[in-house]
Amino acid sequence: MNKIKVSFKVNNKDYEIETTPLRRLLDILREDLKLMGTKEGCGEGECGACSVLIDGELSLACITPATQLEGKEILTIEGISDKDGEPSYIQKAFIDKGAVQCGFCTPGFVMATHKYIKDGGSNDETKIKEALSGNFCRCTGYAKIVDGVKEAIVRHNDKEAK
Amino acid sequence: MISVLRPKTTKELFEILDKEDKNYLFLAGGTDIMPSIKKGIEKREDLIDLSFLKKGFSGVYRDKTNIIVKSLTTFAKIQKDELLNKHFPSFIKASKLIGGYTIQGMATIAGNIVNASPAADSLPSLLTLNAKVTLLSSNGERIIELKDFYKGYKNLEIKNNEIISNIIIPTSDYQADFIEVGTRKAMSITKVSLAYAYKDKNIFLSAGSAFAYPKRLFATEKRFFEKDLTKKDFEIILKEDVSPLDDIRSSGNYRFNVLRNLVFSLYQELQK
Amino acid sequence: MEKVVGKNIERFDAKSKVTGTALYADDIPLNDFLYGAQVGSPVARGILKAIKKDPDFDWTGFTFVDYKDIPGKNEVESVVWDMPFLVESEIRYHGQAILLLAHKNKETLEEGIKRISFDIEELPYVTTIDESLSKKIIMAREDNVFRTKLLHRGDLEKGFKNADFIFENTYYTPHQEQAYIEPFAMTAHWENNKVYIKGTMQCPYYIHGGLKVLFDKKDDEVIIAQSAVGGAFGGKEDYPTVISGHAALLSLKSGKTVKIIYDRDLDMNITTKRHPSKSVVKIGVTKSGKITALDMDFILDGGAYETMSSVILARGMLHAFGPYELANVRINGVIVATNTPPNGAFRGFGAPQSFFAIESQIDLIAQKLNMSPSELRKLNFVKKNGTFPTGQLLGDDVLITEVFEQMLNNADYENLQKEIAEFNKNNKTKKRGFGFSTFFHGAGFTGNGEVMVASKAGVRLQKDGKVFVLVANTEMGQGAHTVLPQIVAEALELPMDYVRTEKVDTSIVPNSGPTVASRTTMIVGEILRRVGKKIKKTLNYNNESDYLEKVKAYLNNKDSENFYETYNKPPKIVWDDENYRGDAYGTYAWAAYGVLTEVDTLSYDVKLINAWSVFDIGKVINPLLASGQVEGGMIQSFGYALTENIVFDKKGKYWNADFTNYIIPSIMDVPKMHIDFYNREYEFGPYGAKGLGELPMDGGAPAVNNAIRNAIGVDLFNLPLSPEQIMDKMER
Ligand SMILES: Cc1cc2nc3c(=O)[nH]c(=O)nc-3n(C[C@H](O)[C@H](O)[C@H](O)COP(=O)(O)OP(=O)(O)OC[C@H]3O[C@@H](n4cnc5c(N)ncnc54)[C@H](O)[C@@H]3O)c2cc1C
Ligand code: FES
Ligand code: FES
Repeated sequence: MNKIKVSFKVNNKDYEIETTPLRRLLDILREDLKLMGTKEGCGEGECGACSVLIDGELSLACITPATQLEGKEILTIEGISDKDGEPSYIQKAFIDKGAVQCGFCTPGFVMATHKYIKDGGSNDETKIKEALSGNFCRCTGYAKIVDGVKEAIVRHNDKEAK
Repeated sequence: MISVLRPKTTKELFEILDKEDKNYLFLAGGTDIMPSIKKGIEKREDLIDLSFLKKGFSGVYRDKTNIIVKSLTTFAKIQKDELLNKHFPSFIKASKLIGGYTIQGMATIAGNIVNASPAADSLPSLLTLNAKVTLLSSNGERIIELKDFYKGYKNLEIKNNEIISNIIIPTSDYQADFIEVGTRKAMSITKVSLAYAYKDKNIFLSAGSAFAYPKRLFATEKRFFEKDLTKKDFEIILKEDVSPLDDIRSSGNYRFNVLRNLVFSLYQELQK
Repeated sequence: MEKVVGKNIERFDAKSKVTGTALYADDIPLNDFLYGAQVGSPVARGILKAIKKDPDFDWTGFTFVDYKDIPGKNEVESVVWDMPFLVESEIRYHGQAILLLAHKNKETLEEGIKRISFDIEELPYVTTIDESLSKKIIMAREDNVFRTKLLHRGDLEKGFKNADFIFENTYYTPHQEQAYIEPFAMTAHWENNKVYIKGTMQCPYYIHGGLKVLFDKKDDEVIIAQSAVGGAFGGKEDYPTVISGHAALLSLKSGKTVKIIYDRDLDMNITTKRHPSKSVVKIGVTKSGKITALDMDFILDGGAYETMSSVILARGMLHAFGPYELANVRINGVIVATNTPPNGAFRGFGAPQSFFAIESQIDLIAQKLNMSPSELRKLNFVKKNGTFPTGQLLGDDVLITEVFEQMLNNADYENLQKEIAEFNKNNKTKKRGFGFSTFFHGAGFTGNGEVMVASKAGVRLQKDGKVFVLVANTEMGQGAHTVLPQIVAEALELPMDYVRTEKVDTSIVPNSGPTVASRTTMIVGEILRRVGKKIKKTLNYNNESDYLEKVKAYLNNKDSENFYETYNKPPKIVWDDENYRGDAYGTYAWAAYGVLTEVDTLSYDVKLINAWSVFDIGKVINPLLASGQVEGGMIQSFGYALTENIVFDKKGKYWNADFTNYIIPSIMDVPKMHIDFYNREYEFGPYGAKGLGELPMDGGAPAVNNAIRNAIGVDLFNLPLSPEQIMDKMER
């Protein structure tokens, strides 16, 4: 494969890399940038473990090729935590509501939740489920994840009110 | 050897397309292309990345009689669009059934149309809404009806030097809906689906995963308003339109019976 | 002192998991390592003649390993050691490892795999229980049969003679894939003739044993450590020995660290699954609904090698009779061989298969007798101080009637029935139904298992007062590494901050047994409680500050000291494995499910609307974690009920080895869950706790089946309860 140069931002940091055009964003994150929080569960777009935001849209790093990253702003789980690496309000809500078991799906769910709340998502259970519908969890049965999202919305609204 | 060309403008794109008559793969959302290349299903090696053109080919607007969806609009954007929500709820419903929210954020409408899967979820409703596609090349535009776009299994009315630029949906006061029966309620591949749009004694019908390619159910449409049709009658009529297959996800028999049930139930409903 | 047991203590690993900093096997930084991979058989059965490497390919930098490179025995340690790490000549399943490759570049390695081919004399193969039983093709042992077992009580003939009706039906269940979201990943390296393994696993000491055999090594020459684990459900119980062996062989030969990662396709294709089953259930009943006899053939598909199937058969059989008092019983257990990857552990361990059969059949009988299925159950439930078919005298902690009543109560059964009738009257195409199941799970190993394992667990007491729990039991999401410290903190009468779990590494922690069989909290937790009490007594402190001083004084100039205890068998437990008589389990956890379904008679699709469950698990140590376990297990069991199934292609390879076509429940598929516990403390468990892990998996499938029966009046006998199957019944 021919090589290309691409420049993009990850968690507000600039990168320029040279790579083959169909190399997966997932491999770029994990192998080149050593950002290990984005997980590979299936590699085919099914499970959502590799969810990130690209220019604000929820996207799957396992099926996003390098060629499409030019000029893009990428947000990963590492960019969600508070500055000191402490859990953000969404992440804390997940902890408090028991939304985490094995944790392998968790970064993906946190990203999907972040996107949902950023877009002004409401407490409506069906809407929440639609927003998380591309993410699989085999441990929790989803109930506590939905609780976590609802709790995060409450905390988000509290923050906004202040 | 895989090669990816990255045109920065439409002009550059058409220069590439006009230079050599090749059956390029257009990388739009990549949700079909990337997994297919990985699994070795997609053997074509010449790709053109459309991401630089995305801005110009994304969005929804209207003219006097149509709503126009630009080809690289994602299903996540489609779901949020007010015009589409107001005029075409059946299409919105279908767009929410494409994979899950992750896939919807990436997948484009043109990709769904050109991938031409019998199970593609946006197509039955678009077919019943009488959508058209605009094909753009260096020679200009040509507009064709979506129902004429599909000629056989993965055999499409599009030339090597063309891309889809718009999907045109005429506004109408038809009642429309889309019913999907899938392997599960999200991230599911359609086992069988039915879309319809009707007004008075006019109806447009289309089914997913029921034939080798997406199409309208013309024979059934024609006889749909006859009196006193039975379930058995529809079984016979539908055989003219569809011939679903057995595969890993379901049986042809199941698909056919469910489609028959859905059509017959609609018939009973509209007879009232 | 405030209690910690019964509190929702935050998971120790929660922060690292939500922030993405927890290190799973594939996340651990490595220097100068090779990627390893297996090249598997392209056929389901055959004789290997030759391995061929494409001469036109550049093989520099590759390491190759075949069976001849094995220094010790080419046998995977298990209950039966019949499976090889690498094919020598006979191939028994598609994808079975023949050759191992390693290379520093992942893409080059993948290309290399494609450039290997094999000369194989292909042989006819079998993939199902019935094909295997027909014996047209013999592919293992003399008769395709790995093992048979018999459980017997009373006089079967007399029992059937006393029956007014006899109902016999055959039930089938398919493979189920654990579908943990983290696929397999394992790393190996050698240093001073010692082998080090790190990766995703449930039972480090199983790998420890397995690698000693593979490399002919001593205890301290094999060091196994666990990374963070992204789900397991039994799937990472026995298979890790194989992948660890492969990584270690490649590492030995190359002299480098080797990491093997499976992609989803390979993971699904070759690792262990739940055993498919066939149950022929014959039940005699009187007019009034009293069961007089149960005769059951319970047949499991072991896959290509027997490995640990016999233990799964045992548990399946010892739950097959349901929560009923039965005087005349015969359960005939068989494991047959097929040309599919060896099946192994999966949450429930044989019980989900047999409960599907018995609990569906009981419901079917109620319907045929025109009796309410709840009355029929209550009439036959085993009572306090009753007897199970093994002759086990149960105590007064038989709680099946209680949990069942509580579930019906929570579901408001009477009103619900009225609502359903009303709904069905007003709806032409949608029909609702309520179904339930009653079940139990023996906690801890079957029979003498716990005595044989003789688990040892302990804590390290440090000078600064910090206490580290030393166990080989792994955290795989279920919360063990939070619950165990909770028990220790309670015993020490100290706040949680003092207690942590030490990392699981066989060079540091004792063998407290595998993390399976719902045994960790109940068995290992109890050992740890005793350790805690011993320390409390030894140091004899009054409060926290007193504790800190007494620790310093006690340790004097040492930095730390380890305290251990070993398993104590509760009194009066006797098990005869030869004849299947006696106390199969020290205690049982009891449960009931109720499910409200809606069947769409146009699409034959089944939607779950509400699900109620009541569990007796003794004292609940951490309610948030416990209800999380239950919810996850319920949804897994509903997946088993409705959609999960493995299909074979013409080559005997799994056809649907991906999440697109192997259908696990999505967030849109889950019903509203109403979870409740029956709180009664168990005498021999830590602070009254029993095991929980597997129980929720056991009852989902029959409850859904019975709800479908209630909704549309069809009897289904095969999992998954697919719309296609329902259509076949309704079209007839
Ligand atoms: C996990 C998963 C689940 C899915 N579930 C569903 C589902 O439920 N329902 C469903 O319908 N689909 C589903 N899909 C398929 C896929 O997401 C859709 O078909 C999607 O709309 C394709 O769009 P894309 O932009 O990603 O196309 P791409 O993969 O980028 O391209 C697909 C095809 O379209 C062509 N193409 C793209 N843009 C143009 C253009 N402007 N002009 C001409 N040709 C063009 C390409 O050459 C290629 O042949 C799923 C896919 C995945 C990975
Ligand atoms: S790893 Fe990307 S969706 Fe599963
Ligand atoms: S917590 Fe394990 S997969 Fe979601």
